[in-house]
Amino acid sequence: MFPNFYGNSQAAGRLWDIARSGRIPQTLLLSGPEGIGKATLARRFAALVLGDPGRIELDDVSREPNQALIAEREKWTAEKRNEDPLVFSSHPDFLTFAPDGPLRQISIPQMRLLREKAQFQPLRGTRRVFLIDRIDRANEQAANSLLKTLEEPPPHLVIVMTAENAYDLLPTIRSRAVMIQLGRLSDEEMEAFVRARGLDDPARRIALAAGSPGAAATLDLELYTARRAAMLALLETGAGASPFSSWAKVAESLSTRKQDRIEDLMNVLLLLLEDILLLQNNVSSIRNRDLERPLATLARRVSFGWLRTAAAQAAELCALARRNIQKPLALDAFVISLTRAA
Amino acid sequence: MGKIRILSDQIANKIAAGEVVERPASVVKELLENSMDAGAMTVRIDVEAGGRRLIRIADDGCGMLRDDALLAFERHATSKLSDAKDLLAIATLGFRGEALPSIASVSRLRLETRADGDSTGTRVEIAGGRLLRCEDVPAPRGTSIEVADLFFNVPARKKFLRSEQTELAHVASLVTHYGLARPEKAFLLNHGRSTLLDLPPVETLRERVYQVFGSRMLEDLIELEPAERGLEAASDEDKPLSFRLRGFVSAPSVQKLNRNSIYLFVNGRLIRDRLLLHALSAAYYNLMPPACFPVALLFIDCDFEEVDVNVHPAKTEVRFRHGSFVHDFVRDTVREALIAAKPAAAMPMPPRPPQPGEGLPYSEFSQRIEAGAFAAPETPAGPDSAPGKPAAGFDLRPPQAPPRRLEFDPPVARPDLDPKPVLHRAPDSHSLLPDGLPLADASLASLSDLHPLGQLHDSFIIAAGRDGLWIIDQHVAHERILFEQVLEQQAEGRAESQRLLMPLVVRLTPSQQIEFARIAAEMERSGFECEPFGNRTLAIKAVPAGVSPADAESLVSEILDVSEQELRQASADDLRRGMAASIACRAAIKINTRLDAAKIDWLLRQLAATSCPMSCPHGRPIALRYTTREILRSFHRI
Amino acid sequence: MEFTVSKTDLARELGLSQGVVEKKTTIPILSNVLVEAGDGQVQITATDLELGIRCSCPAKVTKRGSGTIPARRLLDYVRLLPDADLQVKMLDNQWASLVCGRSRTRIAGMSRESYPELPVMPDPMVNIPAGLLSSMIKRTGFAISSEESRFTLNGALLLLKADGIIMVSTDGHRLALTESKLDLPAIGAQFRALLPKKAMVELEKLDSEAAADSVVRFSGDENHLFFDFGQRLLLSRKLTGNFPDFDRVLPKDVPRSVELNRDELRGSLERVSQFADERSRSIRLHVGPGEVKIHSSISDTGESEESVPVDYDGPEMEIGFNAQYLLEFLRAVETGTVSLHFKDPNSAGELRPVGSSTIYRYVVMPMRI
Repeated sequence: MFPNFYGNSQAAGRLWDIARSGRIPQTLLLSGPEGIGKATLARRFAALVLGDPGRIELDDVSREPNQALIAEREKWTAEKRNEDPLVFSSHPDFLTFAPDGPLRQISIPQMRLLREKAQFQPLRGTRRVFLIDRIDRANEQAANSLLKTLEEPPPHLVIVMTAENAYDLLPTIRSRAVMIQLGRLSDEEMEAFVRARGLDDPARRIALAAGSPGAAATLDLELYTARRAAMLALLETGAGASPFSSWAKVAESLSTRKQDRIEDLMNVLLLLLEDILLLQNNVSSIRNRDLERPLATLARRVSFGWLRTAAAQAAELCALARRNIQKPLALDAFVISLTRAA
Repeated sequence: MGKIRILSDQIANKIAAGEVVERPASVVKELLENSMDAGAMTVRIDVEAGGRRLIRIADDGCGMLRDDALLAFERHATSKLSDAKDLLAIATLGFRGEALPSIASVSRLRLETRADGDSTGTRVEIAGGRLLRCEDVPAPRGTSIEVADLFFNVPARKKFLRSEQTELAHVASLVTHYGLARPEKAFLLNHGRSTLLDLPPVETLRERVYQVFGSRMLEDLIELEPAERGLEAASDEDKPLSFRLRGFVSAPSVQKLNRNSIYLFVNGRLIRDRLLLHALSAAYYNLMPPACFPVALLFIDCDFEEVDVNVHPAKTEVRFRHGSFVHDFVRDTVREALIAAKPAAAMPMPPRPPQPGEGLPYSEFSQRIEAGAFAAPETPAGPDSAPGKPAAGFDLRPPQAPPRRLEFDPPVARPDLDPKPVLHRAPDSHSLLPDGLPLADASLASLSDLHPLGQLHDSFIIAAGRDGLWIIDQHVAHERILFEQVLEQQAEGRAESQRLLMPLVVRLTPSQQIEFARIAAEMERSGFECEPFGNRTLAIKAVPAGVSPADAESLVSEILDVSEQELRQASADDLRRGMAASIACRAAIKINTRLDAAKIDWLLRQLAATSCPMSCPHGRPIALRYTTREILRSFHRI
Repeated sequence: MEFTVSKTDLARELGLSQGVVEKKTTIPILSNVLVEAGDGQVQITATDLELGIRCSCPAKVTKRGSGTIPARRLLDYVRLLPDADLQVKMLDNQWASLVCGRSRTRIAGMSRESYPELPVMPDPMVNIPAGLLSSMIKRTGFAISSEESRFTLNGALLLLKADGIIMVSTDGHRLALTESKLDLPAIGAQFRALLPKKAMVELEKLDSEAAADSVVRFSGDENHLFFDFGQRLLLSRKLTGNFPDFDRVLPKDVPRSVELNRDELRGSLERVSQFADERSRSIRLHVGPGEVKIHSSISDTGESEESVPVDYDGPEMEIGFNAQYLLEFLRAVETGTVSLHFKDPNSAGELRPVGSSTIYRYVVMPMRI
C-alpha cells in the first residue's frame, strides 16, 4: 500500500489495485472534503504508474515554493496569467493543473494548455498522468474545454481530477470519470498522522482539523484562534447576544486583513455552528472545546432554524467568494440577516 | 409596512400617518411640491441630522396671506391629536394638500410666509399639532417652513427612522429628481454646513444634467433630439394625440446591473413603469448584453388624460391609455438616437472626488452618503480608496460659477505621491459648460481618421484620434464587421463558403436533429453545406468562409442549440441574426493575435464603415476612448 | 565546472537552442540551459519537455562538471562580447562566472539536479542527406493547422518507407504532400509518426545549418523522434492522434489542367487579392480558352481582374479559391512552372510543380462565392 498515506484506506487500496493491475481508467475523480489527501493520493498513484516519486512530490501544491509561485502570480495581470497558464511538471509525464489567480480558479487557458500537452506522447513508458486539482474550481467554459479532451483522450493519458463535491461538477464530466470517494479521517488516523509529522499541540490540532490531515499540517493555531474569535463575535451578534457595535470592531480589523479569505472564515464558522448544534443535542464532544462556555450560551439562545439559516448563508458566501464579492459588506450583510432570523 | 406589524395595535394605528409622513424625505417631498405649486423659482432646502433634527424649505413663491396660512393647518391644528383616531383620519385623506397638517402633527413646525403685495409676513408655530403662536413678522416674499424634531411625539415612529446617512440620501435623491425635472428653477440643498447640491437655474436639461452629474457622465450620455409622434384619432369623439420625448440615454458601453439608473418622468413626475422600461431594453437590443441596463433620463410629455396616475398610492406608477404606441415611440426614438450617435465608450477612470452624484444613479449617490463618505468633505481621498469605488473623501460641493484660475483635482488613486495633502481644493467648475476645449465629440464616426499606434497584449488596438486616445477590442470589432457582412450576404443569398477537404461528421442530439430540419435552408443561406448522414449524424461539407475547420463542429452545434433554446419562436430575421452572430464570433480575429499595421488599418476602416460600430452582436463594447480632456485633466493641465 | 570556449561558437549554439527553451515560467528550470563540460567539448541542452536540443562545441575543459544558466540572459550577454575566448566557471553556489577579456560577469544559475533527463537516442535507423528534410518542411509546413481539431493536428505526418520519405500536412481546407525518393531498406515496411509543428521549425533550422554533404541520422522509438546532426541533436516527443487518410483526399479524377508561369500567377494573385475580402481572401479563377482570368471584388471598395495566358481549350469554368492558399503554394514551390488540375467548381483543385522529379501535390478545396 501507499507509504505515508493516512486514512481512507479503502480508496487508497482501490487506486493501488488499479495502478497495479495496469488496466487504468482514463479519467479518475477523487472527491471529498478539503485537506483529506485527494491530491496526495493522486500523486502517490501517479508515482506508482510513472515512477520517480521524488519528482512527482515536488509538485505538491502546498509546498512552500509552489505556494510562493501562486501568490506571486496573483499580482500578475489576468492577461499575463492567461498567456502563461499555471502548470507544474517536475516530472515530464506528470502535470498538475491547480487553481490560479486571486479567485483560485481553474482557467480556460489552463484547460487549453492541457489539451495541447495531452497530444504529446509520454517521455518514457506508455502513460502520462495529468492531475487537475480542484476541478470544481473550473467555471463552465473551462470545464467545457476540458470536456473535449475527456471525450476523446489520447490512449496514453490518465486524467485524475479532485473535487470537494463530485455533484458540483457538470454531469458530462462526472459521467466520464471513475469516481472514488474519500472521507474525513478518524481521530486515531489523525493521531497517527500528527505523530508521524511531529506537529506541535497535537490534541488541539486534531480537534480543529476536523479529520483533515492537510488542515492539521498547515493549521496556524494563532491565526486560527483569531479567526475563530471573529466568527464567534459574528455569531453572537447575529444571535442578538451582543450589540452590533461589538461586531463592528471585529469587522474593522477583519476588513484590513487580506489573508482572511471569506472561505477560511466560513470554514471556521461552520465548525462553530456544528459545535453549537452538538451542544443543543447534549453531545459534549465538540471540536472547539476551549470555547464550550460561550458556545453553550449561544446554543441555548438560538433555534435550529437559525443554525440552518446560518449554515446555508455561510455556504452561499463561500460560493459567492469566487465571484469576488466584498468581504466586509458580505460579512455585515450576513450578521444583519442573522439578527433578522434570530 | 412590514415593520409596523410588530408594534402594538394602538401605536400601529398612529403610525399609519407614515403613509404620508414616513420619513424626512416625505416631508421634503410634500413641501417641495407646495413650493413648485407656488411658482417658486428658487428653493433652498436645509436639513440637519439627515432631516431628523431639522428640515427647512424656503422658496420665493407666491407666499400666503395670514388667513390662508392658518387655514392650511386649521383642520387639525386645534385638535391635540392625542387620539389615534385623528391620526388615522389624516392618513386616509392622504392627498398632498392635506399633508401639511399631518406634518405639523408629528413635529415642531414653524412657517413664515409673505404673499406678493402684502406688507407684512405671518409666522405660525405649531408643535405636535397644537397651535402655539401666530403673529405678524417681517418676512421676505415667499414661504419658509421649518420642521424640527420630526416624530418627537411619536417615539415608535422615530425609532424606525434609518440612519442619518440613509435619510439624507433619500432627501438628496428626491431633490435631485426635482432638479432634473425643472432645470429652469434653482435648487440648493444643504446638510448642516455643507452644500450637497447647488443647482443654479439653467436653460437646458443638458446643462442641468451636467450640473448634477458632471461632464464625465454627460460624455457617456446621448441627448435625444426632442421627438414627437402623433396618434391619429381613433374615432370622431377622440382628438388626435401627441407624445413628446426628450432626455438622455447612455452609450451602450455604460452597463448597469440594475435599473436604478433609469429615470422616467411623465409630465414632470418621476414614475416607474414596466412598459417604458421594456421599451428602453428593446432599444438596446443587440447593443447591450441581456442582463444589463443603461442609464437613462427620459421625459415624456403628453395630454394628462393619456396617463392614469392612480394606479399606485405613491403615484409612482402610471398607466398609459395607448401603451403599445408609447412603447414603440420610446423604443424607436432611443434606438435611432443610439444608432445615429455611434457613441464610443469612455475610458473608465478613477472617480474624481468633486463631482456631485458622479456615476449618476441615485442609488449609488445615496450609498456614498450612506457610507458616511460625506462625513469628511474636506479630506482628499485616502489611499484606501480603491479605483472604481467611490472615494472616501467624496465632496458634494456643488458646481459654482467657473473660477478663472488653475485648479487641481486631488489625485485619487495615489494621494501618497503628493508632496503635501491638498486640503483646500479649488471648487470644481462645471456649473456651465466650460469654454475653450469643447466637450469632445464622442462619436465613433471619427473612427475613420484614427491613427493606429499599435497593439496592446496582441488583443487591443491603440489608436490616436482627433479627440483623444482610443482602445479597440480587435475581436469584437471584427465580429461586428463580419456580423454585418454575413447579414448582407444572407440577404442577398450569396454567403461565401469554403468546402472542407473531408466532410466533418458530427453527432446530433435529438433536439438538434429536429432543429436542423427546421433551419437547414437558413443554414445553407449562411454558407453551410450539411447533409444528414444516417440517423442523428450530419456531414458538414462546407462552412462559411473564414471559419476554421477546428471551429466548424462547435459552430454548427452552437447554432442548433441557440436556435432551439432561444429562437424557437423567433422570426426568420432573428434566426438569421443569431446565426450571423455565431458565425461572426467564430470567424473573427481572436484576441492574442498579432496584427500587422496594414491589418489594423483595414480593421479600423472597416469598423468605421459598419452601421453600428459601438458594440458587438452580443452587446459588448468595441471601442473605449480616453478623451483629450481627460488626458489633460489627469495631467492637471486643466 | 570550468572551461574556455570561443565566444562565437558558444553564441551560435546558444542561438540554436533558444527556440526550444521554454517561454512559460511555471517550471523555472526550463528557462535555463544545461551546460555540461566533458572531454574537450561543452554540451548545451535545452528542453521544454516536449522538444529537446543538445548542441556541443569544442572547449578547453579545465574541470569537468555541469550547471544550468538562464538561457535568454546568457545568450543576450554572450552576443555582446567581443570575439575572443570566454572562460566559464560554475561556482559552488550555482552561480556561473564568465570572464572574457576585461569583462567579468556572474549569473545566478540553478542546480542541475532538477533539470529533466532527456531520453537517450537509440541506434540510428537511417541516414538522410542533410537539406532534404528542411526542403520537405518548406513545402508542407505552411499548411499545418494552427488549431487542433478532430481531423487536423498541430503537426505533419512523417512516413518513412523503404523507397523514400513522405511528409503530409493539412488544415482541413487543403493538404500538402511531398515525397522524396530515397533508398531506405533498413526501414522495413514503414515507419509512421506525427511530427509536432514546433519540432518542424527547429528541425528546419538545424537542417539548413548542416554542412551540404553531411547526413542526418534518424531514429525513433515508441514516443520520440531523434535527429542527430553530429554536433547537434534534436529530439521531439511524437504527437498522438490519427492523421487523416490522405490517400482518400488526393483527387483521383482531375480531367482538366492548365500550366501556368509561377511568377506571373503569383504576381497576379497578389495584386488581385488586394480587392478580395480580407478574411476569406476569396478570388475567382475563370479558366477559358487561352487564358486564366483572376477576378476579385468587394462590393463597395473595388474590383480587380488580370489574366494569365495558358494553353487550354477545354470547357470554360469558374472556380472560387482562397487566394492566400494558392499564394502559399506558389511561394513554396521550387519550379518556374506549375500546373493546376481541376474538375468542376465543387471539387478539389490541385497544384503541382512542372518539370521536377520532386513529388509535390497540393490539394485545395474550392469556395462558393
